[in-house]
Parts: sequence; structure tokens; C-alpha cells
Amino acid sequence: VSRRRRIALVAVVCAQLAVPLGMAALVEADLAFGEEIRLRARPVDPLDVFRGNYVVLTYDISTLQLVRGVSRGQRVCADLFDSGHSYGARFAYPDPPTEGKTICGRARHDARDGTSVAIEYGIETYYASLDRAREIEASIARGELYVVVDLDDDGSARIERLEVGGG
Amino acid sequence: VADGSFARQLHLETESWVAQGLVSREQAEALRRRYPLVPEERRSRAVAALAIVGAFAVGAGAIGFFAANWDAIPHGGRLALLLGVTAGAYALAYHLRDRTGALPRVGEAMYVVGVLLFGASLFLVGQMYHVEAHDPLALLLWAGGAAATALVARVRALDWIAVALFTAWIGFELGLALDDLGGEALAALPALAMLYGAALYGLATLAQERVRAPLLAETAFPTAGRCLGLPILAGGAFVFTFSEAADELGAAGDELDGLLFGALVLLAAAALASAASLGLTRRRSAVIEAAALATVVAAALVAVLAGGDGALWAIVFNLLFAGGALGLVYVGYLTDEPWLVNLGVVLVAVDLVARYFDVFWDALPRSLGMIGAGVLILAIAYLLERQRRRVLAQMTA
Repeated sequence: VSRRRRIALVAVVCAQLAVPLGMAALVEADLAFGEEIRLRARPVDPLDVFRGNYVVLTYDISTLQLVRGVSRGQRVCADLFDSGHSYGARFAYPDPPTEGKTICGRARHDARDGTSVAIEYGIETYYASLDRAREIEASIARGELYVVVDLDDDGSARIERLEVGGG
Repeated sequence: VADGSFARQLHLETESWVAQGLVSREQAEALRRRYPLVPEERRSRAVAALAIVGAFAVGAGAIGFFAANWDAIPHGGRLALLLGVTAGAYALAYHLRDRTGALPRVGEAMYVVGVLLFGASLFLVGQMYHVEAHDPLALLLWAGGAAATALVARVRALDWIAVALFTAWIGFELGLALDDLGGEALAALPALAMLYGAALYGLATLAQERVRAPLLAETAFPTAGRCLGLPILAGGAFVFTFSEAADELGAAGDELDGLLFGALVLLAAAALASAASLGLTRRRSAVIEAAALATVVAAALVAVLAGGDGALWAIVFNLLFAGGALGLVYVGYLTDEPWLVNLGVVLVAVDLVARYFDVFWDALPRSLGMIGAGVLILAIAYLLERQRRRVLAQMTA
């Protein structure tokens, strides 16, 4: 093997190691510097938490009333308020509110002002092993499900952990 | 073809025959040429195939192991494990094939394991952090990694994997985009598959015929593109041989948004351009293949954009599918490519069985229908096997 090819091979392998490492570093940075909040959630279908290796989650803030009309895929933000155990929201805006905590996502469909819109925040999938999924299911039967997410300044959110049973 | 032991014995014997003056050196050479040591190459291929199967098993096992024990390992440990195993696979591959040359086939298989683990890392890191990224992008990254490793390490199996992953990425992207549009839009997927398959086959055949770069000559990219492109093209066309599917074509075309319309036009343009360039090559079947590709692409394009009577389009696609299948046998015969003959034969059989069920299934009692289908399949198998053998024998001769 020529020296040039050996160097190229090392570069290719290093790049392949760097990509997942970089992905992990970006998420870790988001989690480290984001602001932690708690959102009330529920699995979309509580009878089907074992589907694949993940649970599909929906939140109280997944459907909100719109202040101004939006089209599918458009960025939508919600101003959050602390309701004691968790954070909630009432209205969704196409532009992020300037004050307070804000979470942003994408509209799942076209919607006119004054109507409700379903919003995807990118925190709707929680991967869990079979054992963990069983725990989640049992906890849901007992009480409530909360997702702790890290909020960035731009309103993007990442799942930090799931808290079950604590209401 | 001679049996391996006979060929080996003959090669040894001819040397002593020359020494004893029984035959001349030229005659001995002619005899050796008549019975080449092909089985040795076949054994080598079998070892390579076995090693690749082993590589896939190891890759799948490793992914399963990580997934099963994921929760027990902290984030840092998971990352270290994933990256360490990937780097280890590549290091072992380099050692076995390139550094010592002790086990080149196993070394190649370890390169495949490395690429599989790279893909697993992408998906498992996403899973680890519950990332809802645009999923198909991971496939594109994986395909890029596989192609880069294939080019640098010169592992032909990786060329196939890279082309397959790239194809999966295109399919995933188009499928997601069509699904997002809702309504009848998803019905356009087979048409897009036809255009992609035609473009892939056309460009890969063109690369094989025209590009003389030494790097490309050493890779299996053109072969993989041709071998994957044709079944994708045929699969898309096959869907529209049924009038129920062809009926939805027009409505699906109306629902395409700007991006998907652009993808449709781009794929059609790539397929037509490759067909035109292919027609100008010296390949024996150049004109036939170029005309066939252009006809299929034009039909798919007009069907999606103009729509119309589904039953009529089903007839058009039936004619195209049957003509294409028979045409493949002819092209394979012309170009001495047995895989084209075999693929053509399989498509003819699929078409005959599909048409039998399409036309007669509802008209006959179920038991009679089954007997008829069985007899038809046996008859097709008998006729096609005989014809295929005859064609392949003529090609060998």
C-alpha cells in the first residue's frame, strides 16, 4: 500500500470516527448550556409503548391556538409559563415572543389565525429498552409522565430525561 | 468446464509430457488454455462471499449487542465502545489485508464490518440522545463513508454497499416527501423509482463504456449501479402494469410540489442524457438500450404529468414491461452478459404469473385457479430454463 493511500485511509477512518463524535458533542453542548424545564407528556398510544425501541410522545403544548396563520413546516413558537409541576403554553406565534421562556417547533399543517395548530418540537421520540419501556408503561398507569428538556436561547429543545410517576 | 482436480493434474502432467517429448511446448500450452484453473478462482470467490456474509453477521450482532445493553452503559462509555470497535475493525482489516497480506479476504470483510459499524454509530448516537434529526441524512452520510472507504481501500463489496445506501437514501427522501404531501402523492413513488433506476443504469453503463480512469476500472461502482438500477426500473414499471395503480398516476402528478417536481425533472433529465450518450457508444446494444431507456422515461414522465385513463396506461406499461424483459434477454445475448439474460428470464416469468392472476384469478373457482397457476409456473420454468440454457450455451460458444 502506497504512503498516499495509507494517509487517505487514515483520513477516511478518522472522518468516520469524527462524525458520530461531533454529533454527540453538539448534543452534549446543547444539554450542558440549555435551560432545564419540565413538560407534561403522554405516549401517543399507551398500549403500544413497546413499538420498536421507542415511545412516541405528545405534550400538552403539542396543540396550541394560533395568534396568526401559518403554513405547514413554518416555524412556530410558544411562550411558556410555569404551572407548578411543569411548564405549559396557551398560544403559538409565528415569531418568537421577545420575553420569557420560549419553545419553538414546526407547524404540522396549514392553519388560520384563531384556529389550533399541531406543532412538532423535535422532542416527540424517546428511545427506551424493553425493560425501561415496561417501567414507563407501569408508571403511566399509576400517574403522570413528565419529560425534562433542555431549552436553547433560540427555542430549540432536546430531551434530557423522562420522569415518571412524579406528579 | 473441467473439474478442478483434473485441470490441476493436467497442468502438472503437461510439464512432464513436454520434458519427455510427448507433446510440444505449444501443444501443452494449448491444452492448459483449454482447461484453465478456473475452480481456484471460484474457491477464492467463495471464500470472499463467506467472509462478507460473516462480516454482515458480525456487524448485525454488534449492533444488536449495543442496542440490548445500551441502558447499562453510560453515554461516554457507549461512544468509546462504538468508536473503539469501529477503529478496531478498520485496524484489523488493514493488518490482515494491506500490512501483512496474511488473510486478504478476511481483511476485506473487516473493512465491510468497519463501514457497517460506522452506520450503526450514526443511528445509535441519534438514538442515545433522542435526536429527531432528518433520518435519511444518516443514510447519505453512511453512503458517503462507504464510498470513501471503497475508493481508498479498494474493496469491491463496499462499492455495492455504497450504491445500495445511496439508493436507499434517495428512496427514503422521496418517500418521506411524498408521504408529507398526503393524498394520492405517494402513488408517484414507483414512477420516480423508474426514473431513478433508468438514470442509475444509464449512467453506470455509460461509465463502464466511456470512462477509462484506472481508479474506476478497479471498482465495482458501474456494475453495482447497473445491477441495482435495472431491477428498480423494472419494479417501478411493474407496479403500473396494474390498472388500479396506473389510475392514480395523474392525480399523484397533480399533487407534486415544487421540490418533488424538480426531482422528477432532474431524474428524467439525467436518465435521458445518459441514454443519449449511451446511444453514441460502441456498445453492441447501444442504440437498443438508449431507445428503450428513452421510451420508458418518456412514458413515466408523460403518465405522471399528463395523467389520463389508467387502463390505457396499464396497457402501455404492460407492453413496456414485457418488451423490456424480452429485450434484456436479447441485449444480454448481444453483449455476452449472462446476468442480463437471467434477469430478463426472471422478469418474463414474473410478468406471465402476474398477468395470469390479474386476468383469470377472479374469473375461475379458487381451486382451479391455483391448479392453473401451478401448471403455468411449471410450464414457464420448463420453457425458460430450456431457452435460457440455450442462450447461455450460445454465448459461451
